[in-house]
Amino acid sequence: MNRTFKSILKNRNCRWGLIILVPVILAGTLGVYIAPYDPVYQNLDQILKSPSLKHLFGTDFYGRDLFSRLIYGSRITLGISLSATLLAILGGTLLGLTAGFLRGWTDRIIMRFVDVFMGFPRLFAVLLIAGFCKSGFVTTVIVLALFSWMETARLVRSETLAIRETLYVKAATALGLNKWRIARTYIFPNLLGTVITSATLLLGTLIIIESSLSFLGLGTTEPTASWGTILSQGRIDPVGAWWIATIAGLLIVITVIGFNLLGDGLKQLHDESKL
Amino acid sequence: MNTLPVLTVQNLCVGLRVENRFRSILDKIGFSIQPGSLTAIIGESGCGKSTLCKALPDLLDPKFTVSGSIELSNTDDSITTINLNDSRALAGIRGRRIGLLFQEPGLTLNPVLTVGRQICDILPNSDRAEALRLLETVGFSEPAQIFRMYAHELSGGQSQRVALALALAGQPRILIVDEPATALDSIARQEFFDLLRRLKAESGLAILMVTHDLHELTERADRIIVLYSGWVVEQGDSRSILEHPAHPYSKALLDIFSAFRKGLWPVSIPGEVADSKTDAGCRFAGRCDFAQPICRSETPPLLKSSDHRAVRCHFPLPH
Amino acid sequence: MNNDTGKPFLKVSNLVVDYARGGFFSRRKNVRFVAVDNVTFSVMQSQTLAIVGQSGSGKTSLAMAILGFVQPAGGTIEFAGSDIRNLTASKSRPERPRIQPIFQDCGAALNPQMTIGRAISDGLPVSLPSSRQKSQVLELMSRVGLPGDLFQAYPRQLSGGQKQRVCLARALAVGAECLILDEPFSAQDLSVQAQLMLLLRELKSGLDLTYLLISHDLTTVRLLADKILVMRGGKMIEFGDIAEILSAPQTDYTKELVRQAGILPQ
Repeated sequence: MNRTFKSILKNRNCRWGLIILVPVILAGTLGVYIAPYDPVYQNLDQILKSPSLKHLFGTDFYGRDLFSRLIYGSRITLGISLSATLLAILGGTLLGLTAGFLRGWTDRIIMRFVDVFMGFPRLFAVLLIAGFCKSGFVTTVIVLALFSWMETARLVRSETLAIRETLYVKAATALGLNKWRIARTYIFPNLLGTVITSATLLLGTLIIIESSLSFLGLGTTEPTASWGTILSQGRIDPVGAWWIATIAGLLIVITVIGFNLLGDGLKQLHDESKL
Repeated sequence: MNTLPVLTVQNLCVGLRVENRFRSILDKIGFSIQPGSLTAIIGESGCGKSTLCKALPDLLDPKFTVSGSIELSNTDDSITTINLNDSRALAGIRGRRIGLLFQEPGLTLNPVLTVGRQICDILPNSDRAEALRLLETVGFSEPAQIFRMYAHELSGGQSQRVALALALAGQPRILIVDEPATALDSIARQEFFDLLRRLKAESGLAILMVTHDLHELTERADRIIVLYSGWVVEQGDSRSILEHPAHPYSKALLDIFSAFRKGLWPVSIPGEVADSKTDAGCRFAGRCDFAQPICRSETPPLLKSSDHRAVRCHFPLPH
Repeated sequence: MNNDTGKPFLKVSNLVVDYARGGFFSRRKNVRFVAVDNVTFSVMQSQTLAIVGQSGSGKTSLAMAILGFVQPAGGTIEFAGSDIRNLTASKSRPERPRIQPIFQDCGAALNPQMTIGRAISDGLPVSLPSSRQKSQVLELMSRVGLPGDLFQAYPRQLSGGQKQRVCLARALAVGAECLILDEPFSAQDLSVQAQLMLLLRELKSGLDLTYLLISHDLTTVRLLADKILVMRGGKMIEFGDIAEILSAPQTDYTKELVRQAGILPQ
């Protein structure tokens, strides 16, 4: 365990990824304690003020402090993305493992489902469904997960197929262990590396999609504002009140870069250790 | 000896920094190879023999630190000295003055190119006739057929011979061979060593061969170098060492070998090759039947004898 | 030394193993490559059979068929009286642990995510309480000559010889009575070979094990083996008592193998 952490810190991609992510995630979790203002508090004296010492990131159309809003918003954005990622990874891993392990008709049926779901362009499918259902945290999570599990399923399935052919799985079969035990203790632990790496990258993707949804008003609604919602409010005066859209946008981009760097770094480490 | 040695290695040291420790993989290795000779390096897994093969042509990973130098004799009897840190100079001789052959033939060959294409790629004018000649030299009776084949269509023995042809393409004077036959079965192994011996006799090629299988040695090597845990513990004329090994480790290995040949149960050497973290003392002391207290506290000196033998031991076995 | 009375422990009769040959386009021609062609032999309990042949002789396919990894196209395999041609089926599962493979690449035969203590204990009955499991594993480790402090080590931290011992301990943990060892000596250096041979001898006498030793090298197997089966191109060349065959080989092929092994007369 210790050695794993050390090698993660040594990897340059991981290091930078963590440098970006740790403050963001800390802000999100401890945010309620450090946010200087109540995010919904409207101070009509301070409408559309540019960034200053009083309001670090400025204020919005209702005089609400942007910094505090972004901190609270991170809980929404990261919360939705994380939950959706977990759901997608769980579902994808389970289905991929089942398909790769059992093969035959189970494999074929599951892969046809993968094909069908992959046939839908994700963003539009999400928009469509979100348009029909009432928007909100849970809906968004479910919808995002529903159209994200396929990549993981495919990845896990091909890893499972490869692991099945290894000598150590053959040896385990020779020992007389039953199939489920082999899947659990021999195949699954060797999948983790791939799964964790793809999870990290998926998180980045889902943050962008969630932000897009909220930008279009289909994600969570006021007063719970995610970064995407805040970003869309910057449309009011994109030049004059530049700080709203710019800072919210930058935040989204930097966070996604952070997750991508972390994911790339983890992938590097995983590939290295295989050799 | 009045002929110049083809290759002389001086003071080769290879180390590796692991976490905070500095591990010495090879320590002050020195030997020389005469033209047309077969020198065998024997030792257990982990003694550094593969590292030695990779250090000479500068093929080690950069995380290893290498020091020492080699001297190559030229056709006009002059000597070129190259420092083992000089990557450029070593790249210049790699494949040309020193040919290389490694353990797994399947990994040496490019799976997407035909044999002929690979050999032609190395030759200066992509000379097809020369490529066919090389294939013939390594014992293929139908070189044109092999020329067209891909790596996966060849047997283990055939692949190794193609790898040998590739190594010889640069017309080296010395060939470094690292356990070339472990992946082969006994008949293929025999044929391969017959081939090496023939090449040596016909072209005066010097061969430095790393092996842990003593069989070929007994009949074919001119000199033997015994490595243990990064040290040269014994080197000299092969006949002389085989009959009267001076280092307890050489003796133990040879005893096992002769036991196998005679159909007797061998006496094993207790323990395993340990991490050479002992700074002082003999690295073999922990497993040696003849170890004395001084063996654990003082590094044994390299003793040279008149008949070009050398032993690193406090108490070499009597003749 | 002929204690061949009684029922054979492992009996192979007229075994044929073949594989579909060729790639995508030759499937139509239904060409099959015969790896094992009508092989018959038997081994008594506690005997050691050396299966000797060059690469392509079919010795590995034979082992895979006995272990149940490959379905034979013809013939029978009987172990302790029961038909084990279909070891992969669940009804044969009780028999499975009794015959264990020791593969040539022991490193690849160990799960890289499992400590070796865990790997060995995987063979023990699930019902055994974990404290007793640990003590049994430690006992097995000491039996095969592994230091106890390697209990928490991972396979990548071990040497080749140590990994072999872990595989042996694992086979013993599951209660193997017959071990099929595929080229256990070939990639090893002499001192490890010597240690392994002595260990195999000790385990055999202490636990009454039966060995099938697959090798292309006669010198190492002949000390352990009682009988020898020489294979070439999938066919049986010779089978019988090892001392008889080595001193008086009947076929030219066997004579050549003996000559090459450089075996000196005793």
